[in-house]
This record gives sequence, C-alpha cells and structure tokens, in this order.
Amino acid sequence: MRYEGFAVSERGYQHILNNTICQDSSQYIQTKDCTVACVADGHGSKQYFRSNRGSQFASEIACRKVLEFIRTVSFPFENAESENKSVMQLIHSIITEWHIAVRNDVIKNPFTREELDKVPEKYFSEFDIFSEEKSGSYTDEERRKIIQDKNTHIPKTYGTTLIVFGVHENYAIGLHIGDGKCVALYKDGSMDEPVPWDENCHLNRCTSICDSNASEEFRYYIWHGERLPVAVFAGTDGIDDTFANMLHTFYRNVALDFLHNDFRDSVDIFQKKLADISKAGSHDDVSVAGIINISELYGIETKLKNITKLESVEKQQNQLIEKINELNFKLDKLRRISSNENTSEKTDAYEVKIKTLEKELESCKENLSLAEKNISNLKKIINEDEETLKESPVNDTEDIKDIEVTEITENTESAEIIENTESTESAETTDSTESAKITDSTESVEITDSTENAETTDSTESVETTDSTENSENSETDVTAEEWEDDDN
Amino acid sequence: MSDNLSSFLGSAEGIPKRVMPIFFMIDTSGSMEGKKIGAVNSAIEELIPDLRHLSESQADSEIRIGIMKFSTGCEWITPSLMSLDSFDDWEPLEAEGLTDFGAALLELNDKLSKNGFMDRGAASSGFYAPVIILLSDGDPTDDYMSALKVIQANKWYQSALKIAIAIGEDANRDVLKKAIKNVELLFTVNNIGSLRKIIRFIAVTSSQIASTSASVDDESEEQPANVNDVRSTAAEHQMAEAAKIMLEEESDSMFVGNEEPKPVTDEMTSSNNNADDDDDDWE
Repeated sequence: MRYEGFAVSERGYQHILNNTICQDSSQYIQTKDCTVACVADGHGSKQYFRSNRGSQFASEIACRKVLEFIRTVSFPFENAESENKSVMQLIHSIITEWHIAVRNDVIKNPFTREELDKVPEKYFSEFDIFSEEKSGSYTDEERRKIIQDKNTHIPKTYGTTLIVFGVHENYAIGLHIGDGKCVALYKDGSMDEPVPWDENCHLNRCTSICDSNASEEFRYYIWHGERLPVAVFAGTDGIDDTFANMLHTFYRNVALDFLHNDFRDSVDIFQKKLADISKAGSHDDVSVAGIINISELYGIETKLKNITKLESVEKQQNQLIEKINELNFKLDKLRRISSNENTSEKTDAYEVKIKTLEKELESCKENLSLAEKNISNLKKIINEDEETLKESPVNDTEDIKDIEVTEITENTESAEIIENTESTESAETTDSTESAKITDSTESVEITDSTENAETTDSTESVETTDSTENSENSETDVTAEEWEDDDN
Repeated sequence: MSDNLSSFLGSAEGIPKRVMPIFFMIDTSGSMEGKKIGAVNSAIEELIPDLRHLSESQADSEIRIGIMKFSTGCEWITPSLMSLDSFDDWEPLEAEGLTDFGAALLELNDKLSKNGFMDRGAASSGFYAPVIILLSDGDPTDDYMSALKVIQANKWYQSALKIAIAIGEDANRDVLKKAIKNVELLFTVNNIGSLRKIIRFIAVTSSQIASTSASVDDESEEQPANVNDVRSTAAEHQMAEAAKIMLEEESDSMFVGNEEPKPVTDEMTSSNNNADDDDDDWE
C-alpha cells in the first residue's frame, strides 16, 4: 500500500461556547490498493437543521462511490469526452444516493416540533406531513411516495459541502462542491489547489450538494503520471479561514509530522491539536482529511523544510514592504503638514517626528535587503536540492543541504547571513520509481439510480473505514447554500 | 514524533490575524467646503483611537483602513489598506470640484480585488467582509449608474456591509440608496455634531458587526451563492435603530446655522454599549 489515509474533525470553539452541534464530517477508506478520503461541512444557518446528518451521509456515500470508481475505471480515458462522462456519472451517483439517504432519514426520523419551528413559513406544509405529530396519519410507504414524487425543500435542511479524493495505481481523482480547499503536494515540493475554484463561494456564501443544480456545481481534477501527488489534503472552511494564505505551509507541516512515527499515533496527535486551531483561528468546526505516500514524503523532507523556511522569510519580506509603504505614507503626510505649519514650535515637533520615522524607514530598508539576500540564498539551496534529486534516487538525501536563516529584527546592526550547510539526518525511504501500470480497460462504473429503499451502508469488504465524526460533538457552522426560494424558479 | 506543526502554530506567522477592512469614500466636492468637510476631518481624526482600541481588543482580527476622496475625479488617500498606526497625524481633506461618484465606484471596484487591496501578498492573512462607508452631500456629476452596475457584480462589494451618510438636505438619497441597497443603513445628517457622531458610531459598530457575521455567527442570515446583495442581519438592524435614536437627539441645529461644532464625548461609546446590552448580536 503506497498511500496512508486519515480523516479528523473537531467541533468549533464558537460552537462549544454556544453549546451547538458540529456539522462537519470526515471519513477515509483504505484498502490494499486504494485510498479515499473526504470532508464535508454541513451548512450552519438555522433552517439547515439536519446538516450534520447531511454531511455524514455525503462523506459515507462519496468515499464509497469514489472507491468503486477508482477500482473499476482505468486511466487513461479514451478521450476528454469519455473522461467527463465517467466523472459526471460518478457525481450524479453521489448526489442521487445522498438524496435517497436524506429521504430514508426523514421517513425514519420524523421532524420534531423544535425542528419544524426552524422551517420558513411558506414551506411549512411540505414538512408537516413528515412531522412526529402526523406520523400516525401516513404509512412509511405513503410518505416515501410523497417525498419521492414531490419536489420538496426537505433536502435543503441537510445541505452540505463536500470534498472527496481517491488514489489507485496510476491516477488520483478529486471532486469538490462548495467551499473548503483541496491541496496537493508533489515530488518537487510544490503545492497547488488543482480542483477549479467555484467563484460562487465567497466568505459565508457557497454552493451545496442540496442545490437543484448540484451536478453542475461539482468540480473535479484527475492527477496522473509524473504529477501524481505525494499527498493530498482537504479541509473545511474552518481550516481555510484560520490559515488563509498560510494554508500550504500548514499542510506541509502536517505532512512532515507524519514522518518518523507511527502513522496512526501521528493522526491522534493531530486530532488533539484541532480544538486549539479552531480556538486560535476561525472558531468554526474544523475537519482535515488526507492521503499520504509516506515513502515518497521521506525523499523530500529536507526540501519541504527549506521551503517552509523560505516562506517564513518571504512573509517577513512582505511585512517589511508593507511597513515601508506605511512609513513612506506617514512621512509624505508629515512633510506636507509640516510645510503648511506656521508656528516654529509645531514645525520643530513635526521635524522630530519626521527624523524618527526616517530612522525607522532606514532600518526597515536594511532589514528588507537582508530578507532579500536570505530569500535568494534559500532559493539557491532549494534549487541545488532539486538538482540533487534529479541526479540521485529519491532515497539519497545525505548531500542535501539545510540552511539556517538569519533572524531579522527591527534593529539590524551587525546582522549577518548565516548559511549552515550541515547535512540532514539520513532519511529512510523506498524507491518509488516503479512503473505505473496502465490498462486499457474502460469498463464503466455501475451507477445506481434506483430511488427505492437504498440504504447508505458500506459494502466494501475488508476495508479500513473511519468516520471521524464520532470524535466530534455536533455544532453549527456558518456556511450557506442556494436559497430555498431558488427551487421555485 | 517531530513537531513541525506545533512550531508552526506557535510562531508569529502560524495563525495570522484576519484583516477587517474599512473603506471610507468621502465626497470632497466644492459643496462640502467649510463646516461639512471640517466635521468629516474631525470625525476621522477622533475615530482612530476608538478603532485602535477595538482592534487591540480583538485577538484574531486587525482593522485596516482605505480612504478615497472624490470630487472632480477621485483619489486614494491611502495607497493600500493601512494600519491604524498610519493615521497618527491626520492631514485635513479640502473640498473643491465636482461629484464624480461614478469614477469613485469604478476605482473602488478596482481595489476590491486580489489585484487591488484585497491581497496582502503571499503568506498573509485573509479578510473579513469589508465595511464601506459612503459620505456625500450632493448629486453625482458623472455616469454613476453604469459604474454601479459594474461594482454590484463585485463579490467583495456584494458581501460588504455598506453604509451611506447623506450630508444635508441636498444630498441625493436615491443615489446612495441604490449604492447600498439596504435602505436602513442610509442616514441623513443635518448638523455638524450629528455628522461627527454618526461617522464614529457607524465605523466602530459596523466593524464589530462585520468581523463577527462573516466568520462564525449563529444569528447571521445565510447568503445564497447566487443572489446579489441581500445582506441584512439583526445586528445591522440594531445598529440602524441605535444610530437613528442618536441622530434624533442631534436634530435641531442645521449646517446653515452658525453653531460651533459640538465636541464628541463618550456618549457615542455609551450609546454603543447600551445597544450591546440589548442584544448579544452586537458582540
């Protein structure tokens, strides 16, 4: 097995304070030859009152469907059209089965009075039939027929986002609806978010699996060949909002922490950090799922550490540029104010201020110059590292240089750039250059469109499946979806 | 286990503070000359310590300000979103020229983007939904309608908490209403004291609202992905109500009179606190 999987969720800090439930879910499935993982973030507004279950159904169904897909559908596809057709069938099957799971849940668990109070008045009659109070008035079959035949707004109450990805032999696939981010890490140490972003997701607005046009709102990406990732991570927006532009650095550090220790122990330690992450960051529910090729990760450990150092110095550079711009803004302003001032007393006071700011500006410029040198130095080291990787097998890391970056302070007197080329500890890796097996088999995956009595049970034999929601209490998030009214149009 | 993540989380760059952007769009046309622009200058100068206090009290967010003046054409006073420290000395705005509101909207649209003010470079923090405060005392003198259509398609503008202050009876309230959509957040002020108070009150309170409703706020109304600009929260309603009460108390003296500007006291803050007591949403 090349890829290890994990999935963790934790109730958000704000929801702990409010004593509200967690609507995030996450799950992974790991078999002998496949690994699939996903996160889902149930919507938070009050009328999405069953979104915790919606996200759980989405996680279970998506993991299972993607596992079926990657086991049965071989890469490469005949052409782009056939690829799109196959993936769209997969997407449709996930959406269809999610709706079936929602219907079954409504039949099994009628709406309580408390839940009905959250339903917008104009949709109340659609929900009332499925209330506890009316449970004696209809049989389960009658209810099932009503909910199947009528285009109700009931699924909206289960609305959720979804990111699911899986890897098998020579390709990996990622599907995404709504917000959250899916980040891939590659053999050259680079990271990206290849699943196209949905411009309809902005701040607390996003698309949802409960939308009437959900199949059009799903995006996907297929990795293959040399760009088959070393790791893929997905996080709900509670993670994105916490780390913003530091998201890649966060995932890089998560990946590095999975080295040098038992994988499952590392997952447990990571899980325990999630509560603090939510508290210090977004306060929202947080979920992360990932698949990692540990042996390949060993081979780029030093490079990843150097890239993290580079990013840290780039951040310092960024802050210094910002500070210099602000100082220039203040100085220009003060010079203008001073020149218009008539009293010498005030002019003198402005001159003192100007001199102080000029000194500060000079110091910042020196620091900036130092940061730029450090960046150049680190880039050189990282490029040398790349050359070494090209020339040597992945497991040969003993000549890769590490670097210690000069600490940049406000006062830069006698600051020096220190280049520490100490060799890093040798990393134990395996050769990952085994040739990818490509088959021509294009047998299509079986898509279940049956809307009758489908249960969302996991049928995959002897697989390791973990639903991380058992660790999280239920709470409320702030994600939103297509307005209920839209279905009326 | 190596502990790269703990080191990262413990470092200064680990979990960056999110930026709460406040944009001021200030009409500096000729009609603003005199007491009106004087009151705006005083209000912004007095507002900075309040915002600094608020910013320092919030562990996970940082207020940054962008100020644009518009008259004949428009110009950013701030070259980017600036920290509050940049406003230690306020250079008074002067008023002259026309009211090119359309040009100002297009310029704002330009900066409400990743290529503009809404990206602070690699490895930096994210943003809350911005607060946009429009101040005007007249009629647009350019084609503002086409500019409005452009900016209304801007996602940051759609999600922003938009507030307009109509200064005096000559201000075109219909234009300002179109620009902000939520008519509850259009305030008309007819005297200097009101203008100074409302600017301070609105800036402080709106930044509190925006920094909660765009993150995790269980009471915030959901915003569907495919509907433009329908933002309205209970907190915004509360702010509007509190502001109206404050304005009623200041309703007598007009700009045309000879009254001296009234000093802004702690009343503003206490009014805000009273509102807090009424509803938890204000937190």
